[in-house]
Parts: sequence; structure tokens; C-alpha cells
Amino acid sequence: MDVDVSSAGAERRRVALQERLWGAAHPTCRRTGKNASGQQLYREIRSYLIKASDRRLLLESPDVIRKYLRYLGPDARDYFDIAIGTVRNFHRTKELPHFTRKDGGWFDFQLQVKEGDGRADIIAYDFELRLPADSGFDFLRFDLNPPGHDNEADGLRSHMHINGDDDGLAAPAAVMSPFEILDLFLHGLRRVGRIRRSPVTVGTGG
Amino acid sequence: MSALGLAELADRTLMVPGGWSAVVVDEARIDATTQALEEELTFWLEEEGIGSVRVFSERRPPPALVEELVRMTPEDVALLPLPADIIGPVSRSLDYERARLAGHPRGVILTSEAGLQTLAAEAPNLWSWVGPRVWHVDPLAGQLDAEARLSSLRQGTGLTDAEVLQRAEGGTLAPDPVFAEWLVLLGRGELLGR
Repeated sequence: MDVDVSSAGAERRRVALQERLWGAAHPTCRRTGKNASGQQLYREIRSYLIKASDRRLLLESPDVIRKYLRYLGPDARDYFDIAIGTVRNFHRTKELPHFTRKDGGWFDFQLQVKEGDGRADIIAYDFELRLPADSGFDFLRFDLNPPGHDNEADGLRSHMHINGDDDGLAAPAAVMSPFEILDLFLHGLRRVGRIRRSPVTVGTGG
Repeated sequence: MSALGLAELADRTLMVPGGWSAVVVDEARIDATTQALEEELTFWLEEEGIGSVRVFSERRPPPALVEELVRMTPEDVALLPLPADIIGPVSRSLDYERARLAGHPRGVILTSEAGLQTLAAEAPNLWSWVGPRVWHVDPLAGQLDAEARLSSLRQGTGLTDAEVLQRAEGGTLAPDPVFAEWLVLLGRGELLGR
């Protein structure tokens, strides 16, 4: 196999990878039918968070969840916005609205939907979890960028950041539904005390 | 009287099977509020997999309304949009037949302040069922304040709306979720991906 190891070759593969990721996106990201609307997605996310509160997976009460989770739209061009709180949290300020899991990890998110022609497509999102101390890293963010204007941009459309905002440190990520990401935030991404070792270190007791 | 968002209104309506309540809105907004509440209640009932919502917006003889209500279950919700000019005879009939309504659907009467006064005066027994469950609607509950949000985007990035639009129109705007939200809030979502 003759693999082009140049940056141009890598970019082509990055774009191809993103096309595959988008092709495998959860159906919630590209809805059709009677539930294809931003308002329906907003209600479902609110319901998910309230149920998580009822199960004590989140510390915020249903009233607080209803207060924090905001929407706008659809506008005249059929775009719909969902966000946590009014002020966008650029600096990981804990005083701004967010949701908190039992171990103190906290997160917020925003996403945009394009409606029309019987469809509702999630066109962009960012979900960021900030972890408690001693978790191994401080934050993790899943970004779905809006469609780009060139290959370089499209090569990183769906990605994640671990402890670094620099785009150069981003790695490709699956295009997930909001609920898949929230599942991960609520039930995963925490220390469980189980560390996988290599056979060599296991065999030597290391 | 409390002002509630539609989500909270639906939540409180569903708390009491067979319970009655009143929602007070301007006459001109009765139909729109009824439709929005129907959508919200339908969502929750579908989530729970029990009960259904029915809107009684068409005028019918009050006895016929009662006959239809008693065929519904306590898990169902009957939405009754009753402007001030028709609430009198309807509420008198519901009041007279209230014993038959017990154990049947949750009833939500959507009316104006004037309609509420009529309800209290003409249907004292039904009014006692409603009791403290009289709510105003907060039409802005849950809605994002676009201008305040935009202000936080400007502050967070040091950019102006004009600069963002200029970059978007020129095809040089970074494809970042922050800018996706920015363009949507400006009502220029069509520039995404340019």
C-alpha cells in the first residue's frame, strides 16, 4: 500500500474520516418526521436533565434546570439555539449557570439546530465537562463545528479537546447525540480505581 | 397569583390526576397559549406513556361538553379555552354536573381576568375545586435573551457583530461553535459554512 505521508495526504484522510463520522452520526443529529424540531429537542434535553435530577445524578433541582436551560427560535431562517444560562462561559467560571454531578464535576453546553423541509439538523455544538481535582485532567470538550469553508476546517469538524483549547491539540470524535454526551458526562469520565496494565507489568507484578 | 412557564404549568397540571386548575392570559392569547400548553402536555404524557390531551375549542352545548368529559380518564387532560363571553354558561353547567366530573380528566380552564371573575361568581363549587391552582403564564420563561447573550459573545471574544458578519461573508470566519451561535443569534444562520 502506497500511503502518502505528507501533510496533504494526512489532510485528505482527516476529511475522509470526518465524512465517515458524519455518516455515522446519531439519528438525533439529523431528525426527520414529527419530532424534527428544535423545540422538541429542547424539551427532550430538559426532560433528560430533570430525570437525572430526580435520580440524584445532578445536584440542581428541576426548577433550577428549567431556569438555566434556555432556548431561542426558530427564527425567520429556521435556526434554533439551546444554551445554559444567558452568559456564555468562556473562562470556566463556576459562578455562571451550569449543571453539577455528584462528585463535583460540572458542565454546560450549547447547540444550534437548523429546521426546515421536515428536518431538524444539529449543525454545531459544544459540551464541556470540568472534572474534580485528581481526575487526571481538568476538562474535556466535545465540539461539533459548523460546516467549514475549506478542507482544513472540515478535517476537524467533530473533535474533542482534553485539557487544552488549542486547535492543534484536538482529536477527532464521534458525532454524538446530546444524550450520548450527557450519558458520558453523568455516568462516565470519572475514576473507578481500575487501571489496565500491560501483560508485562501484570506478569512482573509491576 | 404565580406566573409560570409552560413547562412548570404542565408539570403542576400533571401532579394531580383529576385535578382542576385555571390559567389566566389576555383574551387575545388564549388560543396560542392553549396550543402551546397542549404541545407541552402531550410531550410529557408521551414520555410517561399514559393519558392524552384533548382541546375543547369548538363551541358545543354545555351538556354535550360534560358528556365528553366524563368519557375521559383521570390521567387525561382536558384543555378548555373559555373567553369571557362564553365562560358563564359553560362554567354553570360544569358546576351543576360537578359530581359526574369527579374521577375524570384533569381540567385546565384557560381564560382572561374577566373570565376568571365570572368563573368564581357563576360556578362557586367548581371554583372551590380550582382553589389555589390559578396561574398566570410567563411567556418569556425558558427563552434566551438574545441581546444579553450576544453581549457576552462580544465580551468573550473582543469582536463586534460587524466583524463577525464581515468574516462570515468573506468566507474567513473560523468554523467554531461560538460563531455558529453568534450568527444564529444575529439571524444570519445562512452564512454558516460559507
